[in-house]
Amino acid sequence: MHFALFISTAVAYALSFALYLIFLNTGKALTGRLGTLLLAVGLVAHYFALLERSRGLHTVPYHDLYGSMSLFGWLLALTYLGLELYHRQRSVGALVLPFVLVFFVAAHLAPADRLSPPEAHGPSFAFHVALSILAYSAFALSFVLSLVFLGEERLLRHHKLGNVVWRLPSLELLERMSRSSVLIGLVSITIGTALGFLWVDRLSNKYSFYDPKYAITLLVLLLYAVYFRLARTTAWQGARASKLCVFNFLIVFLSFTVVNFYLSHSHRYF
Amino acid sequence: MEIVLVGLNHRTAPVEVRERVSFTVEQARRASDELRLKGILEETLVLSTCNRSEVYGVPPETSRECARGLSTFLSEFHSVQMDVLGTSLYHHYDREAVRHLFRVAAGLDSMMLGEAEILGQVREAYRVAHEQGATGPVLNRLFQGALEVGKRVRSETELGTRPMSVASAGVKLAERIFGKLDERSALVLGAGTISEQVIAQLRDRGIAHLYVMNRSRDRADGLAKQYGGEVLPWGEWDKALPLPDVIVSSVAAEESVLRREMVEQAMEKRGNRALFFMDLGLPRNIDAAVGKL
Repeated sequence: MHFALFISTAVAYALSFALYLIFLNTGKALTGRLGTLLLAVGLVAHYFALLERSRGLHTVPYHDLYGSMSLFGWLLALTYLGLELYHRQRSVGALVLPFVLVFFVAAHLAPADRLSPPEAHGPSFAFHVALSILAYSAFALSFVLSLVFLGEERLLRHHKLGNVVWRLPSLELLERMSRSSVLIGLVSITIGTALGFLWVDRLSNKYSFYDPKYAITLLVLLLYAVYFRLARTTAWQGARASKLCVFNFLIVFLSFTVVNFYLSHSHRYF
Repeated sequence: MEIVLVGLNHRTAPVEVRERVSFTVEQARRASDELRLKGILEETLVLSTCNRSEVYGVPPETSRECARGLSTFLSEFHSVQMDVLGTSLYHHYDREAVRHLFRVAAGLDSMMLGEAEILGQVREAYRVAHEQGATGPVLNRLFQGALEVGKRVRSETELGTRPMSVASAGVKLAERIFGKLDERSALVLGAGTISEQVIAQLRDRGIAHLYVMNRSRDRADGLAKQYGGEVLPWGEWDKALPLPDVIVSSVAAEESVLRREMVEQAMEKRGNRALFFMDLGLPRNIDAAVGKL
C-alpha cells in the first residue's frame, strides 16, 4: 500500500511537472490546467502516503528527517497550489515542482527509521511544528519566486527575450506572489512560534534559553517582517526586495540545517 | 540583369553601428544622387529602417566590383571607418539580392518574424526613390515584385493572422514588467507614425494616463485629442519625467533626447519607482547609459 502511494504520488508530481514545463514552452492553456489537476492528485496521494507511514510507525510525520522532508514537500506543493489559484498564474509551476519532487523522493530514499513512539506532546505542539514547516515551505516558495524575478529582470535588461520570458508572470505579479507567500509564512511562523512557547510554558515549564533555535527563529520572523514592509515601498520594490528575500531564505536554510542538526537541543527536524 | 545589394541589419551589426549608418529620407535622396553621379550605380534605392540600412542598385559594371565601391561609399558617406563596418556589411548579388529583398518584404528577415511595418517601409522607400527618378526598369520591377510577394505572404500564410509590430512588442514588454497597464501611465515622445502605433497599442491595453510630447505642438494635440491624452510642452523634462511608468521615444534626432543625468534627477523625484524606457528612435533617443541606472 505504502509503495503504491509512493509511486502514485511520484508519478502525479512528475507528470504535473512535465505538463507545467510544456505549458511554459507552448502556452497551451489545457496543458497548464492538466498540470494543476495532476498536482492536486499528487497532493491527495502524498497526504495518504504521509498518513499511511505515520500509522505504520505509530508516530507523527515530523518525528524523523524523512517525515519532515516529506511534510515540507507536501506543504510546499499545497502553498504553491493556493498561490496559483489565488493569483491565477500557473507558469511558475514548472520551477516549483522540481523542489517538491526532490523533497518527496529524497525523503523516501532516506533510510527508514524504526523510531520509538514519540511522547504525547498534544495538539499545541502538533500545530507548532506543522505551522513552522508551513512557514518554511512558504518562505521557500517566495525564495523561488524571487529567483525567477531576478532571472527574468536580468533577461529583460539584457534584451534576451526567448519564448519562456513571454510565458513567465510579469515582474509585478511575481512580486505580489512572493509577498503573498511571505505573508503566509509570517502568519504561520508567528502563530507556530507562539504555540511553541505556550507549549513549553504549560507542559514542561522549562525554557531552554540557550537554544539558538529561538534566536534564529525570531531573527527570521524579524527579517521577513522587514521584507514585507519594505517590499511595498517604491524605493525597495523590484530587484532590491527580491534580493532581500533571497538573503532571508539563506537564514531560513541555516536555521533548518546547521542550527537544527548541530546547535539546537530540541529542534532536530523542524 | 545585374543587381547588387550592400547593407547591414540587426543580425550583423549592433545598434551602435546601425545608428551610425542609418539614413533619414533626405540623406537617402542625397546618397542616391551621389551614387549615380559618381557612376557607382545606374539605378539606386536606399532602404533604411530601425533594424537595417541597405542600398540596392544596378551597377554599370559587374556587380561584384561595384560592391566594393558601395561599401567604401557607405563608409565615407556616414564617416564610419571601414574596419567598423567591415564585418557588419553583407553583399548579395542578382538572385541572392532578389531573394533577400523578398524575405525582407515578407517580414522573414525582421527581428520579429512577420513584423507588419516592414512592408510599408519598403513601399515608402520605393516611392521616395521612384519619385526622385533613382529607379529604372530593373529596380521598378524588383520592388513591385517584392511588394506583391510581401502582400501574398501575409494573405496566404498564417504569418498575417497575428501581425507583430515593434509597437505591439514594446507594449507587451511593458506588460512583462508592470502586468496590466490599467493603473499605469505612459509618456510618448514624438508624434510620428510609430508613436501613433504605440499610443494605439497602449490605449488598447487600457493605459490609465497618456502624455504626449512633441516638438511640433499641433501634431501632439491631434494625437492627444484622438486618443484621449494630455499634451506636455516639449523640453519640460523636470515636470514630465517623474510622471509616467513607461516612456516611449520615437523622435528624429541626431543626439540623445534623454540623457543619464536627466533620468537620474527624475528617478530621485520618483522615489526610484520603476520606469520602463522603450527607445524606438534610430539614432537612439535615449542615452545608452540610462540602461545602467
